[in-house]
Amino acid sequence: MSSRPRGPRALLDQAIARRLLPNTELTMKALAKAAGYSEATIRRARNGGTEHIDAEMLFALSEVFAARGDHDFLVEIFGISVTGPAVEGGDLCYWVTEDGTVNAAPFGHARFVRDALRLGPEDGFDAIAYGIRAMGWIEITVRADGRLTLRRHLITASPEAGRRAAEWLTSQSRAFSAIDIHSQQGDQWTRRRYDTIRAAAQALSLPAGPAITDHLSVHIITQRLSLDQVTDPVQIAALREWTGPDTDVDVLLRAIAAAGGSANYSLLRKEEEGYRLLTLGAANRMRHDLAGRSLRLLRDQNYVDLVEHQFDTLPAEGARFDDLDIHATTDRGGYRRLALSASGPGGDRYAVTITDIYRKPQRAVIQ
Amino acid sequence: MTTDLRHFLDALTCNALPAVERPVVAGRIAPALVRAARDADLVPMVSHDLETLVRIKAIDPERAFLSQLSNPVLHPDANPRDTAIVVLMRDGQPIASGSLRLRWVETDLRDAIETKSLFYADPVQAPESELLVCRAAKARDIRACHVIVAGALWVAKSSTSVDSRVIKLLVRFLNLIATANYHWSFCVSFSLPPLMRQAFPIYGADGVEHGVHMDIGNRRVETVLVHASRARFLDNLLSPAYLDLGTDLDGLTDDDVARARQAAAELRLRRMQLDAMH
Repeated sequence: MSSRPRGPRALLDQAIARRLLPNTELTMKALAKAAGYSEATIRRARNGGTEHIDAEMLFALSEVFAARGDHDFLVEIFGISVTGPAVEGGDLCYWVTEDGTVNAAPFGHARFVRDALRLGPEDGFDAIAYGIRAMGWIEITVRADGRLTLRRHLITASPEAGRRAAEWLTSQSRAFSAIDIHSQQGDQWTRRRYDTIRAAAQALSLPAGPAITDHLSVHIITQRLSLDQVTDPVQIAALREWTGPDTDVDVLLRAIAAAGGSANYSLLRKEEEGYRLLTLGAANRMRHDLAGRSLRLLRDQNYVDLVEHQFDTLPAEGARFDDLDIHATTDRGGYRRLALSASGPGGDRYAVTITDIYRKPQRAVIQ
Repeated sequence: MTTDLRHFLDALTCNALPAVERPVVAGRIAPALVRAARDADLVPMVSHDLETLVRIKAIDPERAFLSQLSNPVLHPDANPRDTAIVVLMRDGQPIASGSLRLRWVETDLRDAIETKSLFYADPVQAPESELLVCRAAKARDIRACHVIVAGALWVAKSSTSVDSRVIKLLVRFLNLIATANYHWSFCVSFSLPPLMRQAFPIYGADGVEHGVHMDIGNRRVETVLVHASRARFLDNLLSPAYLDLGTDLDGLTDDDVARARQAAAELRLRRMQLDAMH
């Protein structure tokens, strides 16, 4: 989007710079090794230390970038395409797959997915939707009118694909008239427009959803316990202050803090769509950017379903005490969780949980 | 048939799968099953409407079975979040079908069976003459979790004699959508004792246990509890030996799956390292 210098050497220098750290994860050392030239040779070609630029080296560099899904290297220097553009009705089509490879889709997005799955048009399914939703790929379209559109799924999009799509975007020299990122969750799509490549790349490189990567409850066994069985001092302190579902949530939280339980409690507000996590105790092994988000956005929906079902009994019963034995994909944990219903300003309903972790989770081998 | 029938791959969300397994299941297993179905002249379709089963019952009243869980009158609130029906079509006609219902078990499965809350949205609707007794020990271990109840399996008579692969394909598609789309801890079904032999090779069960007695009207039916954990289902899906569709899997072998899982695990490790660096 900046004015371009003239002359192939300056263009070469810029084209390489755009494709190296800090714009991408690619280092000069890795590039030189992959191309089969020394770093010094490439550096001399960039800064004018050689009389001529070695055509074989240019070709080797373009091959390295092409293997990473970037076919524009020579186009940026000479204004010609060697590898051939991906064209669908004048649009350029790419897929960023789950392993972080940017793939040109010269015959269109749908054909690329069908070829990858070895299925044909006769199989009669929406291949593009499947690529985004089930495979976790990111679809990129550079429109003939200069607009750039990226589409991804909020829950299933591969973080690797997101990171690589951001790199690809940063390495682009062309100017886009608009950059739109479409995100899918369930059957709903939301569109966000970005003014700069940098802002769009930043959005792409972050995890699409506030998810606990790969932490999924494979198997949960819970046992409901009697409130008489509470032995943890913080839980006892909270129970002493709790007088029923109309207990003021602030009073309850102050009692927990006074008993030294700030790290072990979580606060959730009941909303129309489910529960929103307002405060997350540090002892819970969850990412802290979850605070302020809806529980429904957790990748571990098995756990969300369990929690919501337990909390949904709270308005009627007020309190419940459960033993949770959670076998997750990465570890196993044992918890005794006290959940209390409380009320706040404006009649909002809250669930306050105080967790007593009695068996330290252990790392397990990835299956 | 109902209008909400859509292609199996259009209904497959895969959002209940661990990220490391998703590329293998969505990218290799699901397409291989669709190709296997295509080779048998079958098109897998999915509906989330229990009326689909009512229409199948109308087509084949003798063989199709409408259980309490698959009866739309007893479950007016059934929706895509808790219901999936897989229908195999040939030449536009249903050839086989089966249903999945996601149910919450609060205390334990035995209690859910005996109080009938497993089978009825509102147990009050159950006839008083209906008596269910569960003596299966495993049912005490399944508690405070979601279970998938599989059932209402139907295969058109003309198909069973012509193509023995139909039932196997049907169950594979059911297992796949159960694991990929829904979050649950156990899958259970109730089977007649003579069918027990099919529990492991066909249904992919962890175990089978006698002791579920059903007095329905004037009939007393002794059934077995067929159960499987979620981990078992996932392992089954990643095992070409279980999928057992021969060349229809286009040469997908245990080694292929192991390699794909290893690559996914390495990718995950690299991601964790990058996260740590940032």
